[in-house]
Amino acid sequence: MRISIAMAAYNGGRYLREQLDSLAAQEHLPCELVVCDDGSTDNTLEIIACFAETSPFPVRVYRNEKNLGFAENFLKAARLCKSDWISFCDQDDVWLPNKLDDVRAAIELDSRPVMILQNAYLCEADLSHRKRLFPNRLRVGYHPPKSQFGFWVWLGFLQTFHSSLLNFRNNSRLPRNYFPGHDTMSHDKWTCMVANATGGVCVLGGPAALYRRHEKALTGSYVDQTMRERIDKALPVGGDHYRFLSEVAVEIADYLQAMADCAPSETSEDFVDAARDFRRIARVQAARSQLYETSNLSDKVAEFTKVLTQGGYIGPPMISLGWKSLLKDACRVLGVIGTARRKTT
Amino acid sequence: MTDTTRPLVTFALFAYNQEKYIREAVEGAFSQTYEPLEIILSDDCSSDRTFEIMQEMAAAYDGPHEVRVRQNHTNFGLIGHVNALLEIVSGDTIVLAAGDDISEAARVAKIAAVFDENPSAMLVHSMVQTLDASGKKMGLKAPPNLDAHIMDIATSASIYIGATGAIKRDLYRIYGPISEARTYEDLIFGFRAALMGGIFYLENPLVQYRSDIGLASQFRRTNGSRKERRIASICHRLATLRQRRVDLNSQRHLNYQKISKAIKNEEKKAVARFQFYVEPLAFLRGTLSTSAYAYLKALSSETKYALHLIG
Repeated sequence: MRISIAMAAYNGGRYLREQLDSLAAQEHLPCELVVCDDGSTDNTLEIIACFAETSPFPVRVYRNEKNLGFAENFLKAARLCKSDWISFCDQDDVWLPNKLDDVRAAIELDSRPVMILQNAYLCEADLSHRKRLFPNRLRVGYHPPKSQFGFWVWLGFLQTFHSSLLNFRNNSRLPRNYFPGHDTMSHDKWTCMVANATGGVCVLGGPAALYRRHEKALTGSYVDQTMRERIDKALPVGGDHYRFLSEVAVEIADYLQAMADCAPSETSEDFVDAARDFRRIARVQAARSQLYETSNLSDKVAEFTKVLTQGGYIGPPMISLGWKSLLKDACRVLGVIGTARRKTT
Repeated sequence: MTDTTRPLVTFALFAYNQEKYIREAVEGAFSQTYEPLEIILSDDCSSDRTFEIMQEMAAAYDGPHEVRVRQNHTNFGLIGHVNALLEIVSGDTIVLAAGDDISEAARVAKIAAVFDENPSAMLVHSMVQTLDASGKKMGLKAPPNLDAHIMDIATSASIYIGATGAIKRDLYRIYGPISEARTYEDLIFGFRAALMGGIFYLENPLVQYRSDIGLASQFRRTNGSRKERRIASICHRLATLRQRRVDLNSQRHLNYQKISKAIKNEEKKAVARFQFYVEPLAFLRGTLSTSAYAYLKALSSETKYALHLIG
């Protein structure tokens, strides 16, 4: 079993050496490391060149003529890989020696998944950690195609995917990101989207890497949240955000439709199905945004029913939001939650 | 000059924490009569003075060979070290040497002659003159099973004496770097060469070989508790078989089906042995599965081993 590593480098000199050394210490060595540099201005390239001099596997470095941004840069590096399986690699983590060996074992055991997902210990800048696994959100084992919610993602460096996924990448622009604040979809969201549409994923238990969260304190989804905090965070989210999600879902559906036109017939159907599911997500999210923007009770009930009948709360895993959203929207219908723009402080 | 018609050969010396023996090993490399010769003295990030000694000796060297000294930035272990070196060698023939063995002055010349006469040769190995730890000459030693069939080599735990090997770079180019870090390079290159029908043997002791210490000593196989050693040895076996299976799959071979089956059967046994020590529940489940035979074999050999411990 041969595994390539795809790395997108950009001004990551600070922790890069440690990352590269951890690749060299793998029990199952990768068959190559492909680095695409996006115009670094620090010592990144020197560190890679220095590592390549004595590396226990071939290292190929490419320099982009113009800045691609990290998402396109990662996908470019992955496309330049030669082997069947590809791992993304960031520039500031430390891989534990068992990472690729675990992947190899999983691939040999089960031929169904097109993507293997692992977990990492969440660490401070100095790599100290409290043994908390991250993302740790999926049951260990095999998950069939279309078993994840449409907007799902797993950290890029904890994915190892089959190179056939990249055959579906066409030249059209990546769709918009469903997290506001970034403009295009990131590389790991793209692979997750395609893997979810076309093949199953396999999740492995146990730690495979040390995930460094430097500079920023452990914030957002990285800290254990109490139910109270989660509710506080979810309440102010209203119509604007749902409308945004609906627009993004339409964009992704168009993108998947375009992929279906290029893909061979057997996978083409998968993409058509996925595009249809994303249009349903768009309708669900549009109805939700209406629900939060109207104050008329009968309108609210009508929108709520629309979401319900589309399978927005209970339905196919790719579309359904789950009982917590159902609860929140029910409160909204009953008028417990006020207009979306009211701040709950 | 006849030198220009002869191909460049690389003499690769692998060293790790061998400050006591490295001088003699480097002198053996410098004394080679073959030209043109590139000598690479490579250190796997030793914690002792091995690298400094090699640097000093290379700086003081004044002879016909081209000498390079290099060091890995971190400790890669044997396989990583071999991969790293094979990435950068200039010769198409590579003579491998360990940092604690002494090569006879004619070693490269004799090996190069075999490669020259036999274009199909991929790997040339030889006898050794064994030394004890103090450097006293002991008897000659020849590798076991010289005329082994590819079916035996596929599952063999020793193909030739690793310290005497010389390979064509094609064994690396065609099959790619070795990815299993817990195996030994001779077990892999020997198998690859056997697949291509290119193993050749020289009946001369070309290497003075310290039999009680070796590169292998850096692995856990030789220290730790008995159980740990046994597990490390099984992991090593598994890694070797996996690497051979990958190599076999990358190039079609006439006996592909048979070899593949033999390797897989051995792998099943090794997995069963591993589970015997590490995952007893999985072992029990295995004895009830379709590969029960492999589990029974593992059980019998491991209980024999356990009895041996008591007795």
